[in-house]
Amino acid sequence: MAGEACSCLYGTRVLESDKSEESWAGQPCVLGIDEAGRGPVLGAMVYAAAVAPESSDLSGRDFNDSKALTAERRDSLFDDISNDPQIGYCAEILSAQFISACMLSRDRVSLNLLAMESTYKIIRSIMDKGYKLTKVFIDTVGDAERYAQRLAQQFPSLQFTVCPKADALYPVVSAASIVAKVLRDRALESNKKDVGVEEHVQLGSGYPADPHTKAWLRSSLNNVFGFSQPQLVRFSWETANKLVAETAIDIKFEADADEGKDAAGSGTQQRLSFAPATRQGAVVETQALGRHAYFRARKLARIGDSF
Amino acid sequence: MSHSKVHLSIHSARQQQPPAEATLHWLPCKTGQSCDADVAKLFNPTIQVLKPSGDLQGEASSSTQPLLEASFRGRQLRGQRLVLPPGYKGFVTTAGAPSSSVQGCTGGEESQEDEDEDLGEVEGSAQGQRRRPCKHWIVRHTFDSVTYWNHDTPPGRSDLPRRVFDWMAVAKQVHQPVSREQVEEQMRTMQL
Repeated sequence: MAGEACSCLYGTRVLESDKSEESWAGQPCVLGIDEAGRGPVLGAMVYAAAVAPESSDLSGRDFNDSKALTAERRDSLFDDISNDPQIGYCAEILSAQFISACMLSRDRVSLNLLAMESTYKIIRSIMDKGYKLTKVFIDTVGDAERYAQRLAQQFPSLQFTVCPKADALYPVVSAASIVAKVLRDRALESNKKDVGVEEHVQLGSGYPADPHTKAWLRSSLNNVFGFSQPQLVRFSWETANKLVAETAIDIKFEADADEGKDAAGSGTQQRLSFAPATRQGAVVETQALGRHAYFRARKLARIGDSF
Repeated sequence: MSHSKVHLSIHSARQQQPPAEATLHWLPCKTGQSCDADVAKLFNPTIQVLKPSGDLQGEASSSTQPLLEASFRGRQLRGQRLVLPPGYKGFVTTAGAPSSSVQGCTGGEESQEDEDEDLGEVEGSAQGQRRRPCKHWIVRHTFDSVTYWNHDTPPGRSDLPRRVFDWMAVAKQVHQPVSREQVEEQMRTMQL
């Protein structure tokens, strides 16, 4: 799959390798689900599912332990999976912008909820394509038991196995892991080009602890927009939020004040108003005091009394 | 309540050219600071069209402005362009020095002349109000429309910027003098 096809700067994007027309799709199939790019402060997060006949034995394919594989080896295995008539996949790319927007929205959608919804979406997509799904294997962080219960509720016809390190245990999950990682890397590369970051510039892995990433973030600070390539950055991450708060001009969103929380969700009360220190810098609405409620509601001030 | 005059310089001796048209974005946030921003590079590319025509439910005049989405500091913005009604013009101004050399300004001293007749319609002005020196604003840019943005929520009728524009559209009618005959006619129809 070409790099450009993986680009996702805005919203989300579903990519598939559809093998549902193959004869095995009507026979019992198994699904493996894994993610990539959950932790980084840069770029997209990807949820991927790999589907294969229940009868197939993928254990000899060396998909296992994708974290130990080199990028080149992963790329090559990804091509193998794409070309293999006996393996299909479905993946959703969630852009950094989408992640930020959801987590910073008035609803304060958590990353876990985004993960869950993405998982549901790809399972549903696989089922809608006509694969005869029986069993699903998922790698998880956090409470495996509870997650399995929720999944079983959503998809009563499927049998779920949820456990940590599933990508090492079940080859179909390893395959999903490879798809997720490769798409994540390609999406980031593609985004890098789209926003005009030169090829030689190192973003690092995108993890907040990575020194390359930290250095890049600091070097691309922007006074107004936070970062000079804002579409690459997850503003909801503490790392990004802190840098912006420390260096960029102070901007307060009315929506945050309504919540009573700051962007990082620490729950501290945030006062929105700016003290009108001087006549010059006075905020317009104070000038509307004494006027009819109609004008005050619209923050309309008499022109001669302003500034 | 006192009233004051504002002198608006559209062409001042110091400016080289007439003021340029500006594109304005009204964001759902506040800042105490003012500075340059690379809007073309860092904001405009994030703008997406959500819906080509922004007809809001129940609006008398259908808005043909598209519903838009954008991103600012990671926030999801949803907005729409509002066009100034006929007879209105937008100015982006900076304060100039109030001086007596500017035509029509008192330059800080009270003047016995020049009753503010044109400001009278809103005030019901009374005599003997303390007069302020005339303010001087210099026009930097002009505009005929503003794109306003909500945090997450799609543009709606009760949004503040929209209500401001609603006022502009009816302000003239509200201030229009009404004849005795018109009042009597209205009362007749109400009684029916």
